[in-house]
Amino acid sequence: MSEMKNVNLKNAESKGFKLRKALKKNKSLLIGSIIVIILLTIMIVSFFYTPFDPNGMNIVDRFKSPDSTYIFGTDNFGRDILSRIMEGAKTAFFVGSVSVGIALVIGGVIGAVAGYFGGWIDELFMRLIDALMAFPGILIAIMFIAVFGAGMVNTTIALGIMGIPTFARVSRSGFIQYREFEFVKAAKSIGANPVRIIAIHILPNVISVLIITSSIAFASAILSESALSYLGLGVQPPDASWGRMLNEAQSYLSKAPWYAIAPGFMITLTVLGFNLLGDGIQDALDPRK
Amino acid sequence: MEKEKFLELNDLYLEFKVDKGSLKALEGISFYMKKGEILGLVGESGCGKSITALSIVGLLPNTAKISKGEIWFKGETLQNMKEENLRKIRGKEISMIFQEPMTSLNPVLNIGEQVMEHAMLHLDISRSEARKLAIEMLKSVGLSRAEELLKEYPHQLSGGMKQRVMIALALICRPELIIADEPTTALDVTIQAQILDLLKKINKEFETSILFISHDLGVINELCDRVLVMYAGEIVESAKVKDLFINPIHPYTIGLMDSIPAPEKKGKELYFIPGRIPGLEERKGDSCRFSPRCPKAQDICFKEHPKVYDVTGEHKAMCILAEKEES
Repeated sequence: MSEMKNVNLKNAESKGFKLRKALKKNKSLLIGSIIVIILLTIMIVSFFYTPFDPNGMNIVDRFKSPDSTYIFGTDNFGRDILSRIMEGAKTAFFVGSVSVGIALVIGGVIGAVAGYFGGWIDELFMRLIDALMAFPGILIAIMFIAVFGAGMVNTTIALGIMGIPTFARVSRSGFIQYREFEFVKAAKSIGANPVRIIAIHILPNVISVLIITSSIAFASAILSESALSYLGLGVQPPDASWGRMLNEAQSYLSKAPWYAIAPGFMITLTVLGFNLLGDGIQDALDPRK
Repeated sequence: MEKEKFLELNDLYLEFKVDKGSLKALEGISFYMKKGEILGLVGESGCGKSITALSIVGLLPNTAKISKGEIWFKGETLQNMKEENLRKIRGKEISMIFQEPMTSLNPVLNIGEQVMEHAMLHLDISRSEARKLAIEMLKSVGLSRAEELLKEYPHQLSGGMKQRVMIALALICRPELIIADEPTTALDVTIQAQILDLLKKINKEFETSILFISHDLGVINELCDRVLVMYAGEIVESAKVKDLFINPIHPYTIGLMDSIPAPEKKGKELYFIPGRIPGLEERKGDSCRFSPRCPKAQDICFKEHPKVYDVTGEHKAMCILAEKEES
């Protein structure tokens, strides 16, 4: 018995060791997770503390260049850019996670059903997805916003719809691959119903690809939100959003270049971080490496 | 005492749909099983053994269709049964053990979840009861560390252990019929013997009937009460195992027997049946399927499809040579 425990302990140790080793070898996973952790920290801190009120105007301190009081400077209304960047992180994470959530759930289910059952169900769902894919994503989002109005929630829903085809395709290919496996046949032979087989037997096998896709989709959702907000269709003033800030900063580019630099840098960093994380996870889960 | 025929296949025809029409994979399969018996089904790869088994539980691939015939199980026909009713029978009354224990367990679920899932699906029991039952079942198939095994994943088990887990899975609802589709093919010989002993023990203890599919007559001889020999989608000979080994009629059966490696054949070249099984598209109805490969083929074999002759009691053969044996 004590021998067994030792073995288990060793296993646990080697798991931690393996993770460290994987991080050492896999630079994109390491850098990606560091960036994502930093961004998450900024987002969480913004709930409890920002140096100034992100929407508080202070006409006296307009266009202050970065100094010890205003680390990233102030904007045309004298609002602290750092505080607004932190507030914008909340927006970015909200839009990113909710839209990816929508796309993951709807796309994942469509793909699972299409892939598992095949036949005409597959044809029907995939042709619908193809039709959705034929439109450029931003165009769908603009159409949606034109109909239902601008704002953070509508933008998020629009971006979620945009993401459905990717997830549907990824999940479908996974389910097609696994539905022929012996253990699925075995599950059927014990009388498991299709819902059970999809959710309990195949999904855990497909989940890793879906996680990778989520990470990359998260980055592109944040980028699209910034783009929409930059066009004035996304988050509405006075709420802070990085894309919105870029839009406002544009008019004062020569007068206050720091105004554009901070949100631009954040967008780049976030997109880079999540893409690296996605790549890193993919490499880490690839058995050939 | 005559035991009831609790599984009966009656003149079963099965077709695969292809682009150009359909190909017949099974033609006129008829057999029955008595309660508590071990029935062997033997034949080369591609002769239709597995598809026969799958047609019983209704797990045929989408392209396959039963075009004629009936499957009776305990007084009910299975071939037209609704999917949800079939699901209640699968695993509860008829269980399957598959060929590849390596891939028949889900790699991402631990053993406990898989075994308990099965029990909870069919028996009205709680999680803790299912756990108890799973441990008991794993122990009864000869796995000693049952409690720890529940938390382990399939890759941590050896092939023989996985097959034991599969058998425990198949047994947990005490089914009346187990269909074992070449359960020992992927295992080495010593493990194979242990698994066969286990199946025998199960058959005795629980009175479970077993339909044992194999391509190895040696294994069949070891385990079964009766045996069906299949060739190219037809049952060519059926008999009690003893009778079959004493007096094999069909040249195909004889060929299979001659190709069993045995100590007394040491040093001699092992016999093999020349040629290969005809593909689905090459099968013709107007001659004996085995005639091109048959060492005793006569002119008539190429012209006429042989009928089934009764040799003695339960011994039947689909071969012209059986004519003079017929009683």
